Amino acid sequence: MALVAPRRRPARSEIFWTLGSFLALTTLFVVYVEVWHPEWYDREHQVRRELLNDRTAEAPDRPVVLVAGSSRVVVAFMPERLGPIRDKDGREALIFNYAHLGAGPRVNLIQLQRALRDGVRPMHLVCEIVSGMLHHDDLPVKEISLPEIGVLWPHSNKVRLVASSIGFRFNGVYRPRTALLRSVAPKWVTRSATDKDVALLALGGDDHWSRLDEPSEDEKKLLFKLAVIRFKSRMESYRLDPKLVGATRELMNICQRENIKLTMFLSPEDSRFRSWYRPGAEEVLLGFIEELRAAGVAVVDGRLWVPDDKFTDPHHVKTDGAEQFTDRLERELLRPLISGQIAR
Amino acid sequence: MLFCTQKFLFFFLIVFTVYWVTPWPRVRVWILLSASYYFYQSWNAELARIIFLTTVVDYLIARGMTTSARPMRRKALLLLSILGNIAILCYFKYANFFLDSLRQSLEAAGAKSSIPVLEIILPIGISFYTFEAISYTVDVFRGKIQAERRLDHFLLFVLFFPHLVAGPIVRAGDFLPQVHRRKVWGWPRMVVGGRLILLGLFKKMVIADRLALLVDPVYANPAGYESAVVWMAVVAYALQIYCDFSGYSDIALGCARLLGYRLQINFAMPFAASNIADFWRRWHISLSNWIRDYIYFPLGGNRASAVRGAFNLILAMTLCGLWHGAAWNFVIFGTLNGIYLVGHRAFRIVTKNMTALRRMLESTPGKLACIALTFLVFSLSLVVFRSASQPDGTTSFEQAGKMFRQLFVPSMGAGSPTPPVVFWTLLATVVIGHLIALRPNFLSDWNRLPAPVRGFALASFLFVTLILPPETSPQFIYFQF
Repeated sequence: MALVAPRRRPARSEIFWTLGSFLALTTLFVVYVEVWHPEWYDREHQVRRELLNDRTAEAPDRPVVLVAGSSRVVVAFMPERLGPIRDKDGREALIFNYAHLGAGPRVNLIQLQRALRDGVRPMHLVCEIVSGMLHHDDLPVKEISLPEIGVLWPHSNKVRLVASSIGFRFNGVYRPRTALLRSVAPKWVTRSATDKDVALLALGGDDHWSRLDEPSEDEKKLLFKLAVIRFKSRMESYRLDPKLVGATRELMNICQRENIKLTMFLSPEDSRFRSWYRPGAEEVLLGFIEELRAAGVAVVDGRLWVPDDKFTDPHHVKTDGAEQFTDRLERELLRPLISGQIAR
Repeated sequence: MLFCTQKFLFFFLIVFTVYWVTPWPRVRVWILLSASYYFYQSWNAELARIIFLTTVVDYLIARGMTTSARPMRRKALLLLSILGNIAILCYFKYANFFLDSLRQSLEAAGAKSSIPVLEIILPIGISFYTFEAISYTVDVFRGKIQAERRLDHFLLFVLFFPHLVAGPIVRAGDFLPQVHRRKVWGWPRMVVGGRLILLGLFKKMVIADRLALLVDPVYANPAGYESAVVWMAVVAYALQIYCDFSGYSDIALGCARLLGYRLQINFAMPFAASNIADFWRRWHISLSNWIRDYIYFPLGGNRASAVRGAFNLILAMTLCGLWHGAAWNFVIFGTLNGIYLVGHRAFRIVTKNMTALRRMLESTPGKLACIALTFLVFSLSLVVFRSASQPDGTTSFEQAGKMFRQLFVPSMGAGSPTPPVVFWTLLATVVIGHLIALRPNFLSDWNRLPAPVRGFALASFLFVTLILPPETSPQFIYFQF
């Protein structure tokens, strides 16, 4: 097929038709995904969303409490461990881990919008603040559909946002291929894709998916290195990015508008992580927290809740650390909050 | 930098654009040379310097041969080049193999040995460019070609990135005249190059990488799978290695073609071969031809007695096996194929006058049976080739033994690690691909189709190629050789 060429003009036409057709097919495919299957871009959210929909469908009258945040919350919060918590009216709350890997202020905002779009109107949103992510937060263009870019628009560098979104969609066939196969030809989904697939428990807790309990020495070094790369320099030159603060404020505004009670917490960090804060960084962070409190948002500082030996890396906990964190979150935040004992 | 990565795509697009917008032929050579050096040093900068230096030495030796009129001096220079290249190859690739074999022999004889294991990084593609360098100096010595005057042209012959790391093994007589020739942009050339790249990507990303998901677990633990699955893995590996290597070769040929160079076709529908001799004329053609021209013929080929001819054939094929890697399983793979070839030659002699048998073999069912038999024996030889030693201390031979036991003693075990429908679909794809490519007028018919139809078909093919690859993509198998 390959080695006999057509003459000059047909050859040129063939190239243009191939490129044109490929562009058209890719565009059609991208439009199809954007309109009918935006969840293909974000497998983690797809799994969480299905679980949440199932739980809410089982008991539509239960008040919903969503706990949102980053990978720290993904691994640290185990809602399946909680005992029944009832609100003032005696209804048992549905407490769901709605965190997302890599979530900073902007992804938290998108996650809330997604929940509302799906018809889930939580009674409480308990949202994590990652101090380092108020300084810098990676643009989450790979996980979002085109309409969600509108959510990011006021809170992002617009040139970077447009360029990254176009760049990502340029490769619009290759990236969501596993999601496509899962939908149309499940036998062609590879075992590695299945093995690495998002595995969550009924209430969104991590089912041995991203939590690492016994890392090897090499893994420990790698995880530490990653934490250093991602956070050390942020904490050493700590300041608040107005765009990220803006995203947090918008989250507050939406909650206010939708009558969702917002509570925020700082998640556990080990002593190594805390040593990275530059002098004065703590004051900057506390200043922001005071601002939140002044706006009526309760904020709990959970950074010291887990001892160092229960961390996998400087900011992700092991299972025993997750148990300890969950118990304390239940005791000090969730139970009083849901039963109406926390003064707002 | 693998051919089927985004990094290579950007690298190639830059090289391609800069190359064609540059109007000066000499500068174009330097562009390709710089790109090739960059391409190689992206794996290991130190090894890139080594290959650069050895290439310069070969250039100087060949120049020395041309300027010298004394036969003894010319012979000495040739010997220096061959031994130098082989010494480097042996050091990097075979030193530990020989030391290990020596240690095992001493221990078997009851002696204690303290032979060390050398910490050596194998330069990627060393077997390919060493053979190219050797063929160059030999051809210069034989007077088949003139020694290249320009160092940059010679460096490009060896370092040209499309063929640098996994062939095809290029001959100076084919390549160097192309460096001299002025390159003019041509749409037909772009079409051919593009089609080849597309075909290569499909073979590698869709067929080979998917079959690897069946092959790898079964070869790692054959005793854990039922016999039917082990048979599937044996067939799958034959298809995988073909699609992996011929896919690489297609992409190499396509990239070269887009830059105005023609490289030798490396595979010609090998699974359509009706006997093992025919198979080796279609499989890794550039290596088979090299072995024929620089080992088999100098040994005397089949001009001597039948016994000597058989010995030459087995020896040449054993070296061909050893070329693949420093391990006994590769040696045995080569020897086994040498024995197949000798057996086939004997069969032809014995059945020369058996007209009825010949007529039967030339009938369609007879041919199909021959094709199936050829595929089967080659696939079984690949069991030895593929079986690798395991972390638990199992040697490659023990592993191959386990494979053969599972193949020929019906056993129970786990089912296929991938859905059988995937295997059968990929097998059917290879068979249909062979049938299409073997149709005599296929290309002419294809080129007569309206351009929009061809364009849409190729775009759809690319679309499918991007959708079907598995999540993880192993590197090309032949990079390790």
